Amino acid sequence: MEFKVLPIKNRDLFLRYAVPCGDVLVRRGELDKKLLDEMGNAVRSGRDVDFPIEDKFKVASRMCTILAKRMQKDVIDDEVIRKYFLVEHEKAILWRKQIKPDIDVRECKVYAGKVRKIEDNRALVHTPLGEIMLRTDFREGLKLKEGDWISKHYGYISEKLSQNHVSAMHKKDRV
Amino acid sequence: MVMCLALIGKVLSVRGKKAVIDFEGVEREASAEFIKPEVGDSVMVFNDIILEKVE
Repeated sequence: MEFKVLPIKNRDLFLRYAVPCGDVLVRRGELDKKLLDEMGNAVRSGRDVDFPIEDKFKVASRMCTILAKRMQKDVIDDEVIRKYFLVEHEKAILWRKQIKPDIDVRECKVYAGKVRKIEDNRALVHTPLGEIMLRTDFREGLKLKEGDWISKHYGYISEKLSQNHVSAMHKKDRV
Repeated sequence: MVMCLALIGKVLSVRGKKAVIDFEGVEREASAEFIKPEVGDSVMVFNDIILEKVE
């Protein structure tokens, strides 16, 4: 049976969540460093990449396809991408830890955090892990301000979050 | 191919839309809803869902 992946509507958002995993994958030999750098540069500038990211991130694209179909969608849109990275991804971290405990849960999981202070190209962010300094240059022109909510994945800020997304993530974290 | 959190395991048994997978000594039941494996196949599994047969 051939698994048919749905098209990713917002490739930029997908990469902003997927690329932070990249260093771990390079260390494991699952991803080429040059390719990771190319994707990182694309995220930084908001450009697209000229290769099929669905093939490179086969697991994420297949899981997003499954989620999209459950949500009765025929395209992987922002809602699907966030459902995967903000919710399903965490379940998978805990699943993998039960079988092969080689994952740093605190780094791999996506957390919501509130910006406390901004200085140069860094932001001090309050997260469930405590106060963490994160780089803000993962994405040019991010225009963060104190009090903004963001999503943290490894050492990166993937995006600004709406209050609805934050409430959903906090509710999940309390369970 | 980036596997991220997925793991490769061997199919021990298949029953309907479920399969038991061996991950180097750890056995777990996984969904065979999207990929139909056969006993002995190596499969890529994510969060107890079989996503692909692998060589």
